[in-house]
Amino acid sequence: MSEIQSGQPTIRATIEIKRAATGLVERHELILTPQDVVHAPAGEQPANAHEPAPEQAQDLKDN
Amino acid sequence: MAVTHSTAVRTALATAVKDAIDAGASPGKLVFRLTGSVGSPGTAVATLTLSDPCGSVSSGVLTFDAITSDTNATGNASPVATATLQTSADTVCVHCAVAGSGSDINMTGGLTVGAGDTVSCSSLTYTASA
Repeated sequence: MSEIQSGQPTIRATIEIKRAATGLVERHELILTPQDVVHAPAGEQPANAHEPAPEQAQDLKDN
Repeated sequence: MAVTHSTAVRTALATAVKDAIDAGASPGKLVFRLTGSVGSPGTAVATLTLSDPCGSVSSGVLTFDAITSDTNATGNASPVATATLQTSADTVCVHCAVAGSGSDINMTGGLTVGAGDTVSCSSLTYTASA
């Protein structure tokens, strides 16, 4: 099995917001590190969230 | 020495996140919110519906399938402060801070979603910790 350098879980997302007032569309490309990841079955209230992750996110770009 | 996880373990972790999001009877959600915590999520500002199943996992990466936009966001005068990935029954699986530069999510173009705005997500991936 291959190994990869350790680190935090990472979510990458591209978000668009179309403003109702102006019709303008803002696009945001994001990198984010989850504060809490909970593996909980459906219907159960999460009770064992992990400790908050260090702030490691960075700006990418904003069109 | 840094702790590392094998690709097989990372795949298992990402699959656990996927299965948690898909655990509800209906598609899971990506929700942008005001200030809150994983145990007490903030007020929802925009709610986007995930596919069901939400995506597929390969080599420790969960790639989400098509996400349905919120074409009439609730909005709020206060800026978005958090985001959650959750089941259809609103059990939070992943909770993230949203703020300016230096926080977990950075939306440099503006953190405030207005009422009636359309919020879309054209790509979303979760990469398990290495």
